[in-house]
Amino acid sequence: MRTTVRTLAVTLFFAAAVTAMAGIASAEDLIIEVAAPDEGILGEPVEIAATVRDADTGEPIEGAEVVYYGDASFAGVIGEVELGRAESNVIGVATLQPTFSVSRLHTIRVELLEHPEAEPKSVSIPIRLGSQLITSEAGVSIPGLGSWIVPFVILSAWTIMITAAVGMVVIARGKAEPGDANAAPLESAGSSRFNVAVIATGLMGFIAIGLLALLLRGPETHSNLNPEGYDRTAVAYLEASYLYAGLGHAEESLSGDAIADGRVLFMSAGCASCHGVNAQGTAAARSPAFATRDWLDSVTRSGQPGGMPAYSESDLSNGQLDAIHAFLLEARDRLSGEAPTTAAPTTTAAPATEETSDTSQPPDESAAAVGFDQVLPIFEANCTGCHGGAGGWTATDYDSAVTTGASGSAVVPGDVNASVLAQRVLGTQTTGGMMPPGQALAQEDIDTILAWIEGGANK
Amino acid sequence: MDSMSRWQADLEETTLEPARTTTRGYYMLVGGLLAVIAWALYAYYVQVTEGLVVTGMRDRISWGLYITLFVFFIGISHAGTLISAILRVSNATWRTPVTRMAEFITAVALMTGALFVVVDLGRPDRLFFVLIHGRWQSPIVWDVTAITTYLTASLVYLYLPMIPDLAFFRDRLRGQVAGWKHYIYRVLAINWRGTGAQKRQLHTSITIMMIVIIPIAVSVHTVVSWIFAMTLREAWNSAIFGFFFVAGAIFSGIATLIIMMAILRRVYRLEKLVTLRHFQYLAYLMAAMAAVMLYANISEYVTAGFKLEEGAEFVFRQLFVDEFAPYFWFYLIGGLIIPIGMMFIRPFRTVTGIVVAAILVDLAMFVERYFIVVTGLRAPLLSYEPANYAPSWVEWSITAGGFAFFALLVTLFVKVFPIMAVYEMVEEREETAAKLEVDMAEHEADRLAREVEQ
Repeated sequence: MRTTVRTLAVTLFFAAAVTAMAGIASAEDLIIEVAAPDEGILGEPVEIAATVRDADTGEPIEGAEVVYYGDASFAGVIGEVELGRAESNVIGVATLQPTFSVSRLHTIRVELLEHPEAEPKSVSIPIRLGSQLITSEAGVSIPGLGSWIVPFVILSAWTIMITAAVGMVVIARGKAEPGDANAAPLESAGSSRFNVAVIATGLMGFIAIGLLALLLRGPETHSNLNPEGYDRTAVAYLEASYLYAGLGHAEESLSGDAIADGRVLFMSAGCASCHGVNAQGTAAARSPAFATRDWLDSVTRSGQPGGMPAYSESDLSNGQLDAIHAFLLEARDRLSGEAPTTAAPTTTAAPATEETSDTSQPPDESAAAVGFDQVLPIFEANCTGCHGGAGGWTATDYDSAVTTGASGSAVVPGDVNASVLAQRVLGTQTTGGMMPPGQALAQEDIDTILAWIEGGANK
Repeated sequence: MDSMSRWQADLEETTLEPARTTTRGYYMLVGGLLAVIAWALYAYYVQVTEGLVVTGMRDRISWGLYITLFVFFIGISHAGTLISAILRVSNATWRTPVTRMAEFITAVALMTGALFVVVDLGRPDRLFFVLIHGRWQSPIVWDVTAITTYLTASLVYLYLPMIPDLAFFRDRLRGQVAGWKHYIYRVLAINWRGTGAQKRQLHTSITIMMIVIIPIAVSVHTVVSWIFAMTLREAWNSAIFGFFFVAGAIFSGIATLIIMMAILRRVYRLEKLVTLRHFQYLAYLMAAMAAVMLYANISEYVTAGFKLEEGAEFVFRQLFVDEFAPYFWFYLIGGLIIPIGMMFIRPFRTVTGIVVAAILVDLAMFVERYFIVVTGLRAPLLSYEPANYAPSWVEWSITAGGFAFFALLVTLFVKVFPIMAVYEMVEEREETAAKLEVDMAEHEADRLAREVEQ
């Protein structure tokens, strides 16, 4: 213990010293100027030069580290990404040559790494389309075989057809031969100003050229570039904004069965597009299967930072939320069923109170010995992934762990039965689902947590 | 020779008759068809202003009646190619009385079918984008290319053998028809006078077209099938689709031709020219194609069903026992097995019996197109509830308008243009007669030779 304290003290000293030195350094007041070309071309490097000077003297500063940030958005989340870093040279100029893969107006922000107080500067560069970025190779390349065959076949077919059509022009000229004694004279044929044969043949030639042009103009890949003036729906995979639309439903056939209707609503309201069609959670959003009805209400009505939209009562009525909750409860059972739960006591086996008192017996004996430093590793391994401060209970540090909770404090020191945390890890809770979702903690971890609470939830 | 000229005069009179006189019933028919089209235009106006939401199509099942009609009409357009080109190439002489109608069905059905692609677009103005931003990796562009080529080819192929007949109309109907009508004949007959050079050139051009149009027609329906087969959908995941669609197209094309022939034969009294023999030959072809379709179905479903990969079970269940079972079994039994069976029974080999079989085939093929489109989209890609599709009044109205448009074009055509390929029929008859003379002469020579030997 003493060693820990000593180490901590030394660390703090050095941290303070570094901070103090940084403060001194910042006193010299630096300014940044950014220069960039008027426009860039997609896929080609764009040189962005940042000049670092002393604010008072105007002297260039050498060796200052400059960070470049670009604006980006992904799945509705808008923010900055670091494009790269560069160090200023002897005349105070740091340059970075990022390459952009989306054609739009890019805003680049530049700041000094060690001088956050120096005012960051921004510059906007329109990136326009250049040549085709990616040319994909065929999966299996067969020598001699390629896309040239398509225009070749079309060209051949049309050449043959036009050859036949030229025959019409020949017929239209109507030349008589000596042997054509019984042929009607040309006058009776009644010629016209419109030579249909010539017009038709010309038209065919025009269509043929048009078709070939259409084929040859096409890009060589499946990659979706955004040609200028083509107002296609704004959906892209990276860096361009992704409009959240939800997963529509062809027919919202509500049956009156709460679970079935909840499933339909979960789809039609768009929940499934981020939370997964079985409410199992995805990379974009975690599983809502363990939400209580109150929690569902608060999250749904107000929305969440990071992309969860707010639904008003006109979007989803309370009755519809009830149905969704019924579906989530069913989903929870389904998800729990998939994981082995034999190691943990189950919710349904016996009345909750008995269960709790039974399992909380062993920790009593060693209650005094358990401190937060023993519990924290369990939290970090199992809980903080979700309970990291996003709402509800926070498990990252002692103060949060004993004071926060979705409804009141999750931990009641000394009272295992009243602690929601204990109920949740045991599966004896009255609302919501067991924690962690899907798989119960190992019995010894549960024992440790219970012992910690029983012993007064000490630091 | 006397009987020959009487036959020819008869043929000419029969062909000229529709262009000369128009009955009140004709105007009523045109009026009725125009009324249906007007209603369809109103429905289309509603669709364009309010969007595709007025149809039964949604995100899950995004193709319905329109694409069904597109496939169906492109399918029956194969009538002309088969009857006209294949029979011409194989030199089947009985074909001549039916070629003109077959070729015309091709051109009209193609126009109607292509129209339904536009109708299926929520933003028809964006059709232009296919031309300016088209990318040939897209099956849509293959379709545009193939259908444009086929439409052009079939118009040329319709027009070329018609040139001498138009000249015949031009010469015989002078002063007997309205000025504009005669002007059309004059312009379209492009100075045809029946000179030797013209005949040779016409023969060359027709020969080129009849050969080139066959691969083009096959490519068109293959590409139409690829719209489905190139999509990652369980029900469409089939290598046989191209062949299957081409066979189905020829099949429904023959059926449509039989129905059209029966109607025109009755209305314009073509009984002498279009005889029971023509119906029977076409009916045998139709039965043969039904057998091909039956085989294709067995090949398709037995291979997929034996392996029963993931997802196939859903597709099979909805097709064979659940929602689409009535459609499927009607198609298989009513559209394939019964028409084949009918051709084995003599009492059904009458014009009426054959027309009944043809109507069954056309209905079945329409239903088949429908369940191919809808079942393919209905099988869920994720574990969501399978959606359902039912066409709305807008779709039904535009569908009716499509059929009316098809009928109107046919009606107008037979009024203005020669429905019988007079030139070819006369030529064919003369050739047969000449061949008969040669045969008889040879026979006579043989007999004489034998007599001398004895």
